[in-house]
Amino acid sequence: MVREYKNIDAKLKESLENAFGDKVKVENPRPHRLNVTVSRDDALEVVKHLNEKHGLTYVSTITGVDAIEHYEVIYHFFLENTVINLKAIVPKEENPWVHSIYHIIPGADLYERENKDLLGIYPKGHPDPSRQTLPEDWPEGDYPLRKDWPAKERGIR
Amino acid sequence: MAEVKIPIGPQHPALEEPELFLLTVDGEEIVKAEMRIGYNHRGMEKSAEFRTFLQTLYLFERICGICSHSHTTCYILAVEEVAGLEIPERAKFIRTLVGELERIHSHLLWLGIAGHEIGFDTLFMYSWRDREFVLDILEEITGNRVNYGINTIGGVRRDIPEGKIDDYLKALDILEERCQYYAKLAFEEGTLAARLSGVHYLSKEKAIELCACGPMARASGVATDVRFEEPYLVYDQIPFNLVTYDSGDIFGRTVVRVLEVIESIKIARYCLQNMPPGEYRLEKVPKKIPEGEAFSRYEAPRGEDVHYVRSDGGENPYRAKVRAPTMQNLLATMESLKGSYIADAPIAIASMDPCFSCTDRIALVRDIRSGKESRIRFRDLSKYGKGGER
Repeated sequence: MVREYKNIDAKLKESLENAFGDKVKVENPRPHRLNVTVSRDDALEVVKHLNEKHGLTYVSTITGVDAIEHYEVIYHFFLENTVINLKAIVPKEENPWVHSIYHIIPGADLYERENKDLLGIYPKGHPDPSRQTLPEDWPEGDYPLRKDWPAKERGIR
Repeated sequence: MAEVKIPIGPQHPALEEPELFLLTVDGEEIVKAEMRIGYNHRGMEKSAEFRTFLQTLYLFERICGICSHSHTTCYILAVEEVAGLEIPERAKFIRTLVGELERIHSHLLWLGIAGHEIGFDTLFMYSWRDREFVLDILEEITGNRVNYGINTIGGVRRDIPEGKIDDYLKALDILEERCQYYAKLAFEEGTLAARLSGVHYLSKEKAIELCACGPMARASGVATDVRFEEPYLVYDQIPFNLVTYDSGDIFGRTVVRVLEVIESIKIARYCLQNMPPGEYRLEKVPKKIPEGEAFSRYEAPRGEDVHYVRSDGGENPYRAKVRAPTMQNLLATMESLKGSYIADAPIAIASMDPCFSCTDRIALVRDIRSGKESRIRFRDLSKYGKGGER
């Protein structure tokens, strides 16, 4: 017995490509997985679109990655048997930021704050982005998940 | 009257974990609940960047003392996806089996804790006694009661001991009978229902809005379970039921967990009876993992566990991200605390089954009378770990 599962990958891909055209890059590496790449400025609109048109409400987590040339903020959504990995490209700048998706998906609260603490990517529009993950006495502006963070000197083995 | 704020944690007798719950109360009622996590942040994601993929596996085994297999399986599914490895069918069955046994032991542990929190210590004693059936099986299969370390890249570390399957099936039969009794107890014996009904209510709408997962969401009537939504390992072949309950309170969470144990016993039994013969690990596994990224989901006892792994083509993960289910359920727990009574706070916080480490037995044995110690040499330990000696 092998159960069959509804697959809406193609429908989502088409919907996103129709709505955003060149602004999004949609890949379907394997069934039930969509990798969507957008610029930071368009990410919020994509989330809004998925929420309003397809009823997206669930975020698993948000991963922040320091990819040397830029930062990546990857939102891992789940919608009807499909995981949507929405990758927002954030340029390297003094104070990197993304639009907060808190008002659309409140469940993103802790993960946006985690990325702010550990990677220094500010969630613009978040009502209370206070520190959550790191200790109170951790110095401001010290972001351990950045690749230029001096791990060896700070005792990571 | 001025606001009265009651801190529970970071160190508190009613809380096993270092987390702060700051409750604002009006008389007996909680009107506002705030929290602060991060008192136990161990920097594992950063540490992973300085370890090889295999070393990171053993590091992640230690994220949690209870659902260690969940974390390693979730991580290794992502690593194997990046590396493009197809593991033997038998290894998939062994991973599933250990995962389900882990769920049984975790849920029975929770049942005991919940019993203890509401002063029903008989339940605590019984359920922890019955949990030993599973721990014994786990110890025989993996060599450890907790932190099994059964996973390895490309399969599992050791095979199921020969000629033991009938014993395991017998133990599972006894356990199923016990769990049927607990289910009966929940519905027919008044104590649990009287104490837990209506306490820490989470509506279905709020559960969806705040992205609750696992038994907490299922007790609010949300049919979410990764084993169903996105089957990994061999879950798409195994017949079992998704358990939901629509009361949204702690009583519902108790019922869901007890019935889930029964489903897990069915799955474990299916795995033992239908395990295909053959290899249980790949012979050669590359040290360097090709460039790529993968995201994997796993239904841990407490809910959806997710890992994200990225490789830059080297021996170490470029980025390894972990999100344990407790984190996902915190927002929903805090929301539901509003309107609860302060006396219900310990069981309310315990009802999401926050993950705390349980202690293991030690491998060094000392005879108190003679004072003699028995030690295992590293060479023997290594041999034992590879399954050469039992």
